[in-house]
Amino acid sequence: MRRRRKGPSDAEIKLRSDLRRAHHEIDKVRKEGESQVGHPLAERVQELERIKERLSKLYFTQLDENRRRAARLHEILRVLSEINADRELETLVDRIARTIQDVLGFRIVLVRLREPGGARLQAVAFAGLGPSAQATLGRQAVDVDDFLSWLRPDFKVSHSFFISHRHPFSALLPDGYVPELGKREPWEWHAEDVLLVPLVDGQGELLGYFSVDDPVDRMVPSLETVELLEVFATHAVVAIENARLNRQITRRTRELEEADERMNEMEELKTRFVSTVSHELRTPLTAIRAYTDTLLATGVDSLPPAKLQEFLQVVDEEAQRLTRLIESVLDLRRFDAGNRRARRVPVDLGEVVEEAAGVLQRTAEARGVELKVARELADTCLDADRDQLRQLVLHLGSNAVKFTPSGGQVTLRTGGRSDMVRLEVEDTGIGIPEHAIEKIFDRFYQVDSSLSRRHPGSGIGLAICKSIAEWHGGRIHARSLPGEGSCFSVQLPRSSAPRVVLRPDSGLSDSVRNVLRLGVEMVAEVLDAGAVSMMSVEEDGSLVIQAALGLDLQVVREARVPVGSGVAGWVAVNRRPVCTSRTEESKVPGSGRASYQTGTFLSVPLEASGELLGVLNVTEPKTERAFLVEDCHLLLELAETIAHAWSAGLATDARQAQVDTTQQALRTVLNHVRQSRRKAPGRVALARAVALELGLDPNDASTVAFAATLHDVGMTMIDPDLVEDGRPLTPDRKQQIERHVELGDRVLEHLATMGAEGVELLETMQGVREIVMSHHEWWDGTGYPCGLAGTTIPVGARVLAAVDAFESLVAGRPHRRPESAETALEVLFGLRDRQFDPDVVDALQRAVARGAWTHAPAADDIVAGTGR
Amino acid sequence: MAKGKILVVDDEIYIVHILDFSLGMEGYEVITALDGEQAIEQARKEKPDLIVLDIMMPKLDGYETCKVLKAEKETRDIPVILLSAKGRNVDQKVGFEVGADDYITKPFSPRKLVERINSILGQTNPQRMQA
Repeated sequence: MRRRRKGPSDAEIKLRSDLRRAHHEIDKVRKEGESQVGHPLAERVQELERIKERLSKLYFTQLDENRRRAARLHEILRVLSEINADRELETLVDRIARTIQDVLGFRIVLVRLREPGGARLQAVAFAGLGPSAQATLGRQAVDVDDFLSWLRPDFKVSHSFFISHRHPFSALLPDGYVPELGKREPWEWHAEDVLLVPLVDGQGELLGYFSVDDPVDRMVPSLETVELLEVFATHAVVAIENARLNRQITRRTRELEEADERMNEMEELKTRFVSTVSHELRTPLTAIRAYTDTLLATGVDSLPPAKLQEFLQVVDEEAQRLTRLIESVLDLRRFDAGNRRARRVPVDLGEVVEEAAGVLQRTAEARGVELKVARELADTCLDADRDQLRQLVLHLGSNAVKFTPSGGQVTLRTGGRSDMVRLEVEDTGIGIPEHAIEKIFDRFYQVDSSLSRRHPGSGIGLAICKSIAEWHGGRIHARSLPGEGSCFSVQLPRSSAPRVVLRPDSGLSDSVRNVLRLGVEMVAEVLDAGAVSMMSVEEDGSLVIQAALGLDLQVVREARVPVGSGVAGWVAVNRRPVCTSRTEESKVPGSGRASYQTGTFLSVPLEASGELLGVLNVTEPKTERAFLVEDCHLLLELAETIAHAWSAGLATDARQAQVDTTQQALRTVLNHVRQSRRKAPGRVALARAVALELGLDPNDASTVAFAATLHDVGMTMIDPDLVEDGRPLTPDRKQQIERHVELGDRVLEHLATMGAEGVELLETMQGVREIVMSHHEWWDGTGYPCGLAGTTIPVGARVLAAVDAFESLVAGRPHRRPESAETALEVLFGLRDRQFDPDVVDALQRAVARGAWTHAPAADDIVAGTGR
Repeated sequence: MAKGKILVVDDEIYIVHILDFSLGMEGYEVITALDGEQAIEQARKEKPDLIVLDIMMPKLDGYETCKVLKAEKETRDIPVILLSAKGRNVDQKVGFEVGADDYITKPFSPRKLVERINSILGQTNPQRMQA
C-alpha cells in the first residue's frame, strides 16, 4: 500500500533523479554495445553502486522513522482510549501528565485547569516535579486574562505557543518553575523556554493548558510534536469535561437518591399515619355506632332508664375521645405548618413548671399519685415560647401521672448549667419496654394499642414534645425501667447563639466561607468577645469584611479600609499584631462605630506561607476588662490555624477533603470550647498564671493556656450526660472516659495536619497535643492512658491536671457542692506526690494567692448561672 | 331457652358489652373473652355455637386465634365471624385464608351482625337451635 508521506526530501529527490539518470546511462551503454567497455564505465558503475547504497540507507532510515512514529501514535491512541474511559478527574489529569511525559518525551509537565465558572487556572497535575516545586506552583494560581495575554501571535506554532528564552517577553512571564538543564547549544531547548498548549472546549472557552519542559531529545519542538500534543489536548478536553460532568452527575444522583429516600420515608410515615389514624378513628366510631344502633333497634321506651343512661354515657365518652384525637392531629399539623408566630422571650422554666403542677395536681390526687416539684437551680431562665413550654411540661407531666399506678410518685425537676436548662419528669409508673424506648417520640407510635384504651391518648403527644424541644434548639430523651418507672429529660439552651454575618457576593468558595464563619465563632468564644471581624485583602490592597459577629449586615457590606490606613490597614501592611486599650485608637476603621465599652482592641494579620490573606479584629470583651498581651498571643495562635484552613480552602478541589476534616475539627473544637468556656472561664487564666509561676516562658505559658481551652476536646465526642449526671462510674463508662483522651488527640491531629507548611504551628500543636494526651496522668504513674510518672509527664499536662482539679472543686459538680479556694488547695495539697506534681501545686497556691483566680466569677454564680 | 351460645371475643370492653346486650336481646347466651388465649380456653371448655372474634388484640391476635381454633378437632367446626377495623380486601382475604366463615368491618351495626349470626346458625345447626 502506497501511502502519501509528507513528501520526499530534496536529497531523496536528487538521489532518485541521479538513479534514474544512472539507469539511463547503463541502458545507453548496453545499447551502444560492449565495445565501450573500459575505465569510464567501471567508474560509472561504482558511482551508481554508491548512489544505490545511499538511497537504500535513506529508505531504511525513513522506514525506521515511520515505524517509530507509528508506534508512538499507537501508544497515544491506546492511552487516549484509556483516558476516555477514566471518569475520575484526579486520576485523569494525572494520567494525562504522565502520558505526555512517557510518550511525548517531555520530562516536565504541568497541567492547569480553570476553576469551573472561575477566572483562575489552578495546577491540577504534575509530572517530573518535586514536592516543593509542586507546592510553589500549586499555590500560585494563574489568572485567565494573564494567561491569554501570553499567547502572542509571534509565539504561535500550530495552535500552541512556544515562548523562546530569547524573546524579550520571556522575561515578563511570572517566575513559575525553571528546571536545571545544564549547558545548551544555541539551537537546543533552554531552561527558560516555554511551550504552552491551550485546552479549549467545544464553545471556544479556555479550559486550561499544558505547559511542557525539558524534552528528552533536547530539541526545540518540531511541528509534528506540537501537533501530537494538540491531538492529545483535544482528547484531554473531552475527557476532562466528561469527568467533570460525571462528577456533577454523581453528585446530583446522590442528592436525588437521598431526596428519594427521604420521600419514601415520608411516604411510609404518611401511610402509617393514615392507617393508624383511620384505625384510631374507627374505634370510638364503632362504639358510637354500635350503641346508637342498638338503642334504635331496641327502642328507647323498651330500655330500662339505667341502661339508657349507660348507653348514652358511652356514646358521649367515645364522641369525646374522637374529638380529642382529631384535635391532636390538627395540633400536629399546626405545629408542622410552622411555628412562625411563636416568639422567644425570657421565660422562667421553674415558674412554668409550678403552674403546670397546679393543673396536674387535681388529676394526680384523684389517681392517688403524689406530685412533687423540685428546683435544683435558682435561675432557670431561658429564651423560649411560653405556650409551647407549658404544653411540653403539661404533656410530660400528664403522661407521667397517667401511667403511674396509685401510690406512686411523679417528680417535676428543673435544673441546668450556665448555658442550658433541664427539665426532668420522673415517675414510678409502669415504665417503657426497651424495644420501644427509641420509638416513642415517633409520631403515632404507641407502645401497646391496648394501653390506649385505658389511657386515652393518640401517640402524637410525645412527637409534639420532641418538636418543641428541637424548635428551641434542644433535645429530649427518655430513660426507663419497665415496672419501676421512667424519666423524661428535656434540655434546652438558654439562648440562641448569635449569628455570624457573612459578606454577600464575596466570590469566595463555600468551603472558605465556612472556615471564616467557624473561625469568627471560635475566636468570639475563646476570647469572650462581643465583636469579631475577619477581613480579606482586595486586589488593590484595601481590606473588606468577609465574616463578622456583632456587626450588622450593612456594616459588613460597606466597610472598606484603604491600604495602610487605620489599625487594620497598619496591621495588613506591617504584618504585625496590635493590642490596644485606649479609646482614641479603638475605632474600627470604616465601620462607623465610634467607641466601645472598654475601648480595647486586638488586630492580627492572617498569613499563610508568607502570603497575607487578611486581618482578624477582636473587640468588646464581655468580661469588661481590657485585652492583655496574653490574649493577643492566644489570638495569634488561633489566627494561624484559621489562616492555614483559609489557604487550604483556596487551593484545588483535591484538598477539599482536608478542608472538610479541618472544618470538622474546628467545629468540634468550637463546640467544646463553648461548653468549656461556660464552665470555667477562669481556668484558662489560671493555667497561664500557674505556668508563669513555674517559670515557663510566655510562649509556653500561652500554649498551656490554649490547651486549657481545648483539653477536654475528646469529651465532646462522648455524650456529655455521661459525665455530668452524677451517677457513679461503671467500669464501662470509665473505659469510655479513658478513651476520650485519645479521641481528643485525634482531633488535634487533624488540626495539626492541615497547613503542613507551618512548622511552628505544627510544633505548637504538638505541644498542645501532648498536654491533652497526658493531662489525666498521675504524678505517681497510676494515671491514664499511658501510666507516665513524674517529669516524663509534660509540664503543661501537669499544670492542667492541677488547674482542672482545682477548678472542679471550686465550681462544684452536679454531685458535689462547690468548695472554697482554701479547701480546694488543701485537697490538692493532700494529693501532691500522688496525683499532682508538688512544684505545680506550690505554683498554683502562689498564683491563687496573687489573685489569678479572681477573674473567674464566684463559684455560686457559676452554679446559679448568673455568671458565665 | 337460649337460641344458642355465642362466644364474643374483643379487647374493647364497650364492644363486648354492647354485643352481650344485643345478642342477649335476641335470645342468645353470651360468653366473653378479652383476648385470644382466653378465647381458645373458653372455646374448648364451653363449646359455643359461634364465635365472634376481633382481630386487633394484644398477645394473640384474631388471625392466629382463628388458625388455632380451626386446627383443633374440638373447635374446628365452630363457625367464626371476624370483626375488625381492618377493612381492606387483603385483610378480608387473610381472614378467609385462616378459615373464618365471615368477616365484618367496624364500625358495624349490631343488628346486621345479629342477622348474620342468625343466618349462619340457621344453616349449620338447625337441631341445636331447637335444643
